[in-house]
Formats: sequence, C-alpha cells, structure tokens
Amino acid sequence: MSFLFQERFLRILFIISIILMVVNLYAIFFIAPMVPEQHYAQKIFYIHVPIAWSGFLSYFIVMVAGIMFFIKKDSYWDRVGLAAAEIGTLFVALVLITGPIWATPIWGKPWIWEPRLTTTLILFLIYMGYFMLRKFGGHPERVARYAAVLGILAFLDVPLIFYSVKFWAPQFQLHPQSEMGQQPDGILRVFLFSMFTFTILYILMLRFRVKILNFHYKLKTNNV
Amino acid sequence: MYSYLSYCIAAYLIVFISLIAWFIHQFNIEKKLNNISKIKE
Repeated sequence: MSFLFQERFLRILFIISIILMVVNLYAIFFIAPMVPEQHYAQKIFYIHVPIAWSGFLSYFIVMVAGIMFFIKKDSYWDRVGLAAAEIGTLFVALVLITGPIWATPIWGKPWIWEPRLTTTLILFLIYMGYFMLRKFGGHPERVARYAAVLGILAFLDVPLIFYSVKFWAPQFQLHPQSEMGQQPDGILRVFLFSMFTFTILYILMLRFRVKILNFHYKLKTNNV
Repeated sequence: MYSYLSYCIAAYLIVFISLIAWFIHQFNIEKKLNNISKIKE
C-alpha cells in the first residue's frame, strides 16, 4: 500500500484535497460571476494565481529547508528542500503555461516581456540550474550544501516578482495592478477558497514526496 | 474571434493532467523502491 494511504494524516489530507478540489471547481464554474470582458478566459485566473502562490510558498520552504540544513546539519532538510524545489518548479511551470493561455485571447499574444513574466521566467530558469547542480554536482554532501545555498539565494527573486508591478513604471506593465481586496465579493470569495484548496493540495504533495525521498535515502544507506 | 471557453478548458486540462501525472509518477517510484527493498530483505 502506498504511503499516501498508510499514514493517517496523509490519508485524511488526500480525501480533504479531493473534496475541496471538486467544490472549488463547482464554485469557479457555477458560483463565481462571469466577467463580461474576459468571459470564460477569466476562469483561468482562479487556478493560475493559487498555483503561483503554492509555487512561491514551495520556494520559501526550499529556503527555510536550506537554512535548517546549515543549522541542524541533517540530510533530512536536504530532502525537504529537494521535494519542495521539485513541486515548486512543477507549479511555476504550470504558471508559465496557464499565463500565456490566458494572455492569448486577452492581450492578443501569448508572451510579452513585461516585468512579472520575465522575473517569473528567471526564477524558473534558476531552478533549472538548481536541478542541474543536483544531477551533475558531484559528491552528494557537497551538492546538498551548494543546493541549500542556491535555494536560499533563489528565493530573493520571489519578492522581486511580487513587487515587480510596483518597481517598474506602469507603461512597462501589463499585469493587473488592482489589489485583490477591490474585487467584487463573489469573485474574491471563490478566489480565496481556491487559494486554500491549492495550499492544502501542496501540503499533501510535499509530505508525500518527502516520505518517498526518506524511503529512498533509507534504502541507499541500507537502513531498510 | 477567440473562443474563450476552449482556452479555459485547455488551461484546466493541462493543470489537472499534470497533477494527476505527478501522483502516478510518485506511485511508480514508490513501487520500484518497494521492489528493491523486498530484494534486499
């Protein structure tokens, strides 16, 4: 039986995630009001932003795991960092795919070199480097140290992405600059529910992946 | 004229297929590791 169903916490989280996701999809398509200018394309926003949030949260965990690795000198934190980096990169890749899908009908072209898009792409490329370091870095202990440093430094790009709509002049921006609080109630409630749903899903994925990496580590060190 | 619905469906399909594929991939890794563990025992 999989770890997903063996551990009580994971099992409960898995069931909750499925229920939340079904309710979330129902709310997005049947409860949230339609925005006339964007029609169905606006529905992409309800998954695009929560996925971006979960991706950035994941990179925050990579940074925390990197710091903990240096403090505790325990390889467990290296595995947490690796798991979070993998899931974060999957989420950021989905952000970079769903963004252009939304932009094509709204902006008329899939990609524009504007600050938030460019800084998100840079973050994704930094993590491509991170995985190359993991794969080709040489001795595992040295790789763990370098990966921890890179994970800490890479997170510096996240506030830059978040504040890029403020740092650069409005004429360079295409991303919506209005605050979420200014959205109508119907949209805001569904949006926040979607954020919560993807956060729960992220916690489930991280915990599950860390369990598998721990098992792999135990096998490698012959503790099984 | 863009078909907004088809862009929406494309985005949702890509996201959910990727997430399901991720879980299936993890189950496969776990299965392989379990087999290795059984051989070692």
